[in-house]
Amino acid sequence: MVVAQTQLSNGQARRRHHREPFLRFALKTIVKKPGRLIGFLIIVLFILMAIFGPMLYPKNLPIDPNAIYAPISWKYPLGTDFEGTSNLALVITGARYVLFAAAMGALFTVVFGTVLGLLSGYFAGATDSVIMRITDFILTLPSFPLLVVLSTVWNFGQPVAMGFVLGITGWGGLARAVRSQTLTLRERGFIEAARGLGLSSGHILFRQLMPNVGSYIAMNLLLAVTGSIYAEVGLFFLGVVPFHVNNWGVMLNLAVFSGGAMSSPQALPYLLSPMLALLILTLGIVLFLDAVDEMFNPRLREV
Amino acid sequence: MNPFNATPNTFMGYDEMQLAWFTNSANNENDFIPGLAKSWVQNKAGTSVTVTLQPGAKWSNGQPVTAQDVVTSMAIAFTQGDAQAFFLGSVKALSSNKVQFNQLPGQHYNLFMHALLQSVIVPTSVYGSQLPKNIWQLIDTSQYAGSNKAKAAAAAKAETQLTNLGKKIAAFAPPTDVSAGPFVIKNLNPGEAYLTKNPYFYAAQNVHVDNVIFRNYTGNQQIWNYLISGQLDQAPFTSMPTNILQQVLHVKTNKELSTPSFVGAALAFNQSAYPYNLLAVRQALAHIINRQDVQKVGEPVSGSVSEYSDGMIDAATKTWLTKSQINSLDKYSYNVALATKELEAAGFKKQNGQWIMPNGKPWTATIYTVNGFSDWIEASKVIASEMTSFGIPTQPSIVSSYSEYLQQLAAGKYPIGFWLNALGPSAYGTFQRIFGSPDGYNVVGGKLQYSPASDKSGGNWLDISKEIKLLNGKVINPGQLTYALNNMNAAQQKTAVAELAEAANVDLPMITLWNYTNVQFVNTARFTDFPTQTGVLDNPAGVWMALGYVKPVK
Repeated sequence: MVVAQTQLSNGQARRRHHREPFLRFALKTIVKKPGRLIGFLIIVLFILMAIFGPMLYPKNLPIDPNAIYAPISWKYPLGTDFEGTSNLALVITGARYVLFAAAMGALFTVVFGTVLGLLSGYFAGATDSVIMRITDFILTLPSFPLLVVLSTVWNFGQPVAMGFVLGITGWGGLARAVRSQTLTLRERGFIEAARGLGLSSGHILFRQLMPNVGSYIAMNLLLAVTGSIYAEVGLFFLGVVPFHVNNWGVMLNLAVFSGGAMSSPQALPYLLSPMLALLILTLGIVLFLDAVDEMFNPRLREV
Repeated sequence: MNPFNATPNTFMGYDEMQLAWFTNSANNENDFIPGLAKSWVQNKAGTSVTVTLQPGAKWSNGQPVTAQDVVTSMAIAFTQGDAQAFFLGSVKALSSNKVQFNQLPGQHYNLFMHALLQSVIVPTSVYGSQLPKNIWQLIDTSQYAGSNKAKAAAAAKAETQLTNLGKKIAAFAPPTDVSAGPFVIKNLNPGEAYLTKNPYFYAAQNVHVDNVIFRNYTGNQQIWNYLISGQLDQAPFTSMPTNILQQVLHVKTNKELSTPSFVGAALAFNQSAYPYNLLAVRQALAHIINRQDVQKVGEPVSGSVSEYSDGMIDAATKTWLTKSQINSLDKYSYNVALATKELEAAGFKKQNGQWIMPNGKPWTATIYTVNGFSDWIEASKVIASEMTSFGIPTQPSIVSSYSEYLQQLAAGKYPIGFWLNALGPSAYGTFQRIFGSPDGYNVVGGKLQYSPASDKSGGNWLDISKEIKLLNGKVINPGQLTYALNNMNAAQQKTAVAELAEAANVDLPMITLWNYTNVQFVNTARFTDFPTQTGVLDNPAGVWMALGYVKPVK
């Protein structure tokens, strides 16, 4: 009985939402809870920082050998680094590489994971076996040590290259999860009906199946962003990547290994600035995930 | 526990001994403190040296250190290529504790005694079995330098055999440490080494310390932490920023000991890479790099700004050159206007704030340095900032390890990179860092050989011009002149050094940024009576203890 009622209201809800544009609906979902709004604003702030941040400062940040590790002040809201450059400026200009690489990494993860998971689950049989063996192989690879090894051969000057490597090592889990969801969905009535209507596999995969795993994918996209950020910042922090760019990981590396931030309170703001940025960004993403779940999950929409 | 291993885990001055210890004297290359050798005499020509061993010298297994041990060690030095470097011809055991060293006939290498006294001495009982019976015959054959084709071929073959033998010895891993030094290794793991006092050491009564622990480290930051927590009784030279120095000295018992050091940090150019082959480019860069700022950020504690970019540290410049010679050196002071003029004269143009090279391409640069080398990294960032502000977009690039850095550098991959120059105090050692192997000049089989930069395996990454015109119009070949320093008397050396210094200054293959000061730290909480004189301080603390310094606090 309950099922019948739900399906009815589901149908009504869908009709209502189909009339409402997605953006307005999304905005409504976000403002519903203050936590979601804060998360959203944090993410927007960081995206703006990545896009416009480097434009606010000269390409080469000014140095001041007379203000090495200057304390926090109005002129230097987050203090300065070992050569007297403002930490705030470093955090802002360093956001672009970090976020762009993370976005690329997440995008690669989601694209590989979703497509392979859908194909594997929908076609089953030999296709499934082959894709899943590859997935197993990817899953058994210890991704961070692999990244360390890869970084000795590749130069990660371009964030796209970094993102690609992060994505290529990280899609295994998502592919498996999407496959199991697809396996349950393919036996459902609406898929059988679509097949009966003679719709193409492409249509069924991407128009029928994908929207139903949409919320899962969207949430994974955001989680993959945080995962990618940690991985790349970790690589730079360890100093295994030959770096020649300004980003948060490089700041952490220089603060600890050149500035002695772990042992000297003067250099501490240099270490804490990028950490603060990472903390706030992660917080924003976690808060925002709640909204994403509702936006993309058809079953949550009517609640 | 093999000092010839690529990553040796024996400790010089503790369980690894030399015949004598150099005092780092700037004007006397033969000023040594006795080690395993009690005394030494050389003939007038400096081609033959007789060494007398310490009468009571014994290995840690109780066996005496004999002349035969020295002969074995020298044979090993031939397999490692070390003995060839100072033109050792023959070694004779005159008695159980007297050894005679002779230079190759016809050679007159100035640093012969200087080098041989610093050879590592190992026990025959451990290493003798690694050498074939005919080792000295092999060495003799390999030293043939005449024109007889058959003999030359035999020499080349013997040379290869020696090299292969050298690899075998480097890979040899004796199970226990047999030491003739004040200490002997008891335990060794990747984190630390534990050494105890060697009761058989010839001056054991001088050694007041019962055991020594060595801590391994992979970056300067680890040493800082040990120092700040007062855990180290002695720390060797370590680069550090001022904020760390303050923290270190905050521990009341930490004491700073400074002695002059014969090392400089330089920014070197690969002249086979355009546009660094242009003199105007190198000079202009010297004018836009503010060395004061670079030193202040990079090496504030243990460095001083280099005044003369002449391939030597400033103290050496003042010893070797006359006042008028020093005055004729270009100091390359910070002068952006002059740099602009120099570049424009060389056909460079500035468009929209960026310099365009005469070939029409925009000029960008990368400065290479090494992960963990905090001073180089920080300095490279400052230089990159200065170059970028001047209109040459520059990025520092940090290479993950020093070994990879040296490999890539030698292969000519880095147009601009950091380099330790002026490794003195000897004049040859100093200029060899510029006009020697980095410039493709290597001594092979007692002869100077040149490899051009186009030969990627030759290690010529500076590609300095073979002819440099001095201010008085004289043209010199710096590579050959540097090599010739070895066979010159003092007066000839003075002239040659002045010419080489001028060549380094005029042609500017590298810009010396700062001179290092040898800053060490000792902690007086557990031990007192640390040495104060330069000659002793420049040697490992094992040598201090062997000489009777360092006593436990009662």
